[in-house]
Parts: sequence; C-alpha cells; structure tokens
Amino acid sequence: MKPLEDELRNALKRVEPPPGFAGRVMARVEQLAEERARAAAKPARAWSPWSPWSWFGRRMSMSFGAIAALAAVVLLAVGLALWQQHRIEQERRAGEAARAQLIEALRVTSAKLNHVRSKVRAVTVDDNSIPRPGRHRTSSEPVFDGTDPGALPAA
Amino acid sequence: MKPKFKHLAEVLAAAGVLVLCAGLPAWAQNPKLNLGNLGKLADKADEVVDVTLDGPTLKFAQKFIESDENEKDDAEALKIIRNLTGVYVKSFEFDKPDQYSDADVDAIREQLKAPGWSKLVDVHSKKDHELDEVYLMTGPSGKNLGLAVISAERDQLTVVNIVGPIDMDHLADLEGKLGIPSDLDLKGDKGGHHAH
Repeated sequence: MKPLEDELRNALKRVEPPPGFAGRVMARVEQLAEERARAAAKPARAWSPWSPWSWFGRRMSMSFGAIAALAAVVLLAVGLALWQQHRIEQERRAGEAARAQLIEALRVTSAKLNHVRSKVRAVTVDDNSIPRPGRHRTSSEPVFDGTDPGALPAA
Repeated sequence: MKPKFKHLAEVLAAAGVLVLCAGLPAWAQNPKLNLGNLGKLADKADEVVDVTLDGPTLKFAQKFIESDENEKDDAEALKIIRNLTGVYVKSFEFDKPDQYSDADVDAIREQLKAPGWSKLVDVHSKKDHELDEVYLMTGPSGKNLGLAVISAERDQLTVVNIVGPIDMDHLADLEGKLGIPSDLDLKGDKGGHHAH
C-alpha cells in the first residue's frame, strides 16, 4: 500500500505557478476587455441602398429570381407581339398581292369581253350593211337583234 | 357460304363501276384549261399579265376584297367573284407582230373541244389576223361551270379561263368596280363601254 500512497501524494502535491503567470493572465484579461469596449464604440456601417445589409438590398437580393423571371416573361411577351405583328403584316402583304392579282385578272377579263362585245357589234353592223372582205361571222356566232347588237348572250 | 360471298363481290363491283360512271362526266367536265404551253411566250413579250389564282389563294383574295370597306358598295361585283374557284389569265403584248404561232392558240382551242364547252362568240378577221372567241362550259343542270376567252391579234395574245359559276354580262360590267379602271385601254374598242 505504501507505493500507492506515495504516488498519490506526488500527483496531488501543490505545484507553484511559474514566475509572472498571474501577471500574464491579468494582462490578457485587460486586453480582452479593451477589445470588447473598442468593438462596442465602433460607428455603424454607412447606409447604401445596394448594400446587402440594407432593407432594399436584402429585398433585391431576395427577389432577384422573381425579377429575372418577370424580365423573361416581358421579353417573351414582346417577342410574341413582334412576331404576331410580323405575321399579320406578312398576311396583309400576301392578301394585297392576291387581291391585286384578282383585280388584274378581272380587269383583263372585263376588257376582253367588252372588246369582243364591240367586235360583235361592229360585225353585226357590217353584216347589216355591206359585208367586208376577210371578216366573217361564223355559224356558231349568236345572232343579235337590232335593239342591243353589242350585248353578249345571257349566260 | 362461298356463292353468297361471290354474289356480294359482284354486286359491290357493279356498284363501283356505276359510281365511277356517274362521276365520269363531272370529271370530264373540267373547266380548268392547261395554259402551260403559253409560258414560253413570256420571254418574247413586252408586257405580260400572268395570273393564276385558285384554291386558298383565291379565297384569300376574295376575303381580302370583301373585308375592304371601300369595296362594300360593289356588292354585285363581290357576288361575281365570291363563287369563283379559279381565275387564270395569260396576256402577252409584243413589240413585234407574229411572236406567237397558231399552234400556241390551237393548243388551247383543242382543249375547248372537250364535252361541256360551247363557243358563244367567234369573230375572225383574216385580213387583220385577229381572233376573238368566247367559250362557256355548261354543266348537265344547265349551270355555268366556266368561261374561256381567247383574244389574239398580231401583236398580242390573251387567254382568260375562269372556273366557277359566271354571269358574263356582270363580268363585262366589272369596269369601274373593285378598283378596276373604267377607262380601259382596249385595242380596237375605241368606242369604249364604260361601267355604270
């Protein structure tokens, strides 16, 4: 039992701190107190609307995704509107072209029918007087009465 | 069972033949002319009017005219064009005479010998080398199905083919309507028929 008692006594015997230990501890405590006091006395950060610490900045950073989505939607809407306008313009141009073609075709048709009408009238008048050499009316040509010799037969 | 099926097949075949025969006249009476042979004249011509309007394009043009507020007053003219299903015009004016051959015209006239077509007007002038012919295609019910006009002079050739029900008098009176000028420059028509 003796050796054990000796070991315990050695382990639990009072050990004196190294010289200057208390002084270093006290210096450290004072240094920490000064740092705390300095941090408490520091002025507040300057305000900026874009600062991430400001209310607006926080809002902005929080809603950045929403704004990007909104911009994309606006761009899409503008693009769609432009495309629609382009399509309508193309359709209008095609319609104008088709209309012009139809009008031109009807113009030529109307002109030619009137041309033929006047020829028939001239031939009929000629036949009623003296036939002109080289010009003849065929058997299939309709016969017109004198009231309206230029009229085409009713279709 | 076999003879029954054979009988059914015979009946179906006979019905098919009947349907084909019934549809044949309608198919044969096609008022659309093939004007493709005239295309080559465009290179020689001084002025060319080449209009091919049918199907959706013609309907589009008709709708476009109908929707035009300025054309609302031309109800009669609109009525004429509303029922058309095809409008084909080839008109060539040459700066020199005899730029087209008789064969060019005959190719069109041959098509107009098909059943249904009847010649309404035929004015020839051998001296002036002029030809004006108007043809109308009439269906079995007496309804007009199409119109063809051939107008040939030494220095110009015009072929008009209109498909659809047509009132020719109204067609001739289209001048001054739908934006068609009423003072048309017609060779040999100095008297001039003006729209009402």
